[in-house]
Amino acid sequence: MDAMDYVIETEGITKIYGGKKKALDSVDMKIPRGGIFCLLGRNGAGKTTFLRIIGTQLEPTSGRATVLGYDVMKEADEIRPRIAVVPQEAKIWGFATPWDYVYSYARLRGMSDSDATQASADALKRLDLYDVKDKVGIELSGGMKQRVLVSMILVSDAELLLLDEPSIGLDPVSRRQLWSYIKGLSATGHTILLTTHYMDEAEVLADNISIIHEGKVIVNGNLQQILERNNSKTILEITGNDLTWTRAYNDADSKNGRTTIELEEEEDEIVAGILRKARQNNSKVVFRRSTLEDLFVKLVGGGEVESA
Amino acid sequence: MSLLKRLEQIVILGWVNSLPMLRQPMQMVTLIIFAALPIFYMWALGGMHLLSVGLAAAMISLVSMSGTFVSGDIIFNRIWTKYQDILVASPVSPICYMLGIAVSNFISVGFGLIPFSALLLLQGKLTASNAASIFLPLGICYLSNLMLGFYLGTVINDVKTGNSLGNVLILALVYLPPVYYPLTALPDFLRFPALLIPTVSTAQIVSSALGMSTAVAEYVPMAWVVLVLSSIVFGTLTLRNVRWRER
Repeated sequence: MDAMDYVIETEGITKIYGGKKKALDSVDMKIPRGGIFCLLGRNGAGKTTFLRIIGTQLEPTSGRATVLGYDVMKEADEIRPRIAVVPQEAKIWGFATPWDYVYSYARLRGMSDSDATQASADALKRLDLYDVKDKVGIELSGGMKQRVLVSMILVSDAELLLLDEPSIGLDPVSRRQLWSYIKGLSATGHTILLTTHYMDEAEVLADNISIIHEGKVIVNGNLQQILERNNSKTILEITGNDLTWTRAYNDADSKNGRTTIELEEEEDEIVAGILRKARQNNSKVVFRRSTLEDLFVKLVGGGEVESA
Repeated sequence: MSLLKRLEQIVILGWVNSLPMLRQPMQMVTLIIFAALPIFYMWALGGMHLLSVGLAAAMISLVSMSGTFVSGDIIFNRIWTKYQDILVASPVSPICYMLGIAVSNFISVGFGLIPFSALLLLQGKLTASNAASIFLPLGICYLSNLMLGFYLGTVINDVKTGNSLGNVLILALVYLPPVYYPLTALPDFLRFPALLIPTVSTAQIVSSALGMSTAVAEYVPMAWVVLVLSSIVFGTLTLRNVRWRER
């Protein structure tokens, strides 16, 4: 791939807060032009720090990063008109309307009054906010507020859009609506860098994924490649009131009233045994392929998974 | 970006930041009430002749509060709504952002000064000939407090601390020092240190320009020096510490 095909390239990006807390540890990353790139990781993994360095909002401690071919430290003024961000847990003011937000943002980015008016109306219509464009923030639902923030980046017409956990706190329906808008943005030629700790979100949205853990990138590639590289397996998922019988299996991993067993090839007899015991113990057994979530848990440690 | 576009950014940011005042005018009314409240006690305890002293002090109080409370706006936009983060990753410059917030607060101050100015006008204290001598020091006092507000907004990372500190500062800048009462009410040894407070300096200049009996003419030159220097000091402090991109 040619260097111009990457919108973001980093070499050894490190960020240390207060001289001791290492949030990013020598991150090398190349993010291709076009599509949606998901940065996955637990809370505190370093996703937001990475995104804020790319967004020219935070200085790295060391290393080099270019965005759209410009150096983040030396050429931030070239980068800023070409990017737009939705920060993590950003909120809209209670006294401002969606129109105030989107129109003023368009004007601040240099659009004329007529262009900003047209672009704001288009953006709000695309995100189903036009009917509530004159309602103040306190009258909007959580999903609408989040969409107002997304409509701001939509009106920006920036090449690169940075979204930091945009669906956090949204109900399942609003999340799916937001995913559809983000996919729409990607379809119009924008490159999107999105952080999330929701595995389903990454599976639905991402063209490419990086998993970041304790400040380091531990996995990189598209979903299929990642699963294949990490030996995607068949998994038996067993649920029921009494799962003590599953302890007899060495590969069994029990958490939150659910046991999973990764199957190796040629294990038909073991599977038959499990099914027999499951029937005897009135347990339910589901066969499935291993998912991104299984891989994520395996790679970042067996603690509580933060996905929904 | 052209100068015209930069000016547009300042006006737009000023308008956006004015929305709370325009849509929730009770905030402004509250500020005016807090500035005007001591006038009531001055009038009740001291009589009508203290009314103009109180009105002048209320104008200084309003200017000081509006300037200092800008710290709350800065912290709110930076920490709570993350609006500043959105602007950093855009073509908006930090100077335009600061000026936009300054403009919005200036609009609030302008509205707030109207009732006090009107009463001074009705009393015949405020005239065309002394208007500049009154509003110029008020403007510099606003600038000085604004810079202090910007500085605090930059270094404080907690919304509640910012709001609380703003209130404490108003106590220290307006209600405790001789703004609503004459400098001569203080013991001799405290007068010079008190004069170093920009609001006290402003009070000396304004009360002198209004021809009040409480004014001491010999303090006025010193008050001007303090007022201008405080603006420069707070301005320098702000410009040295303000960070558009975080470290």
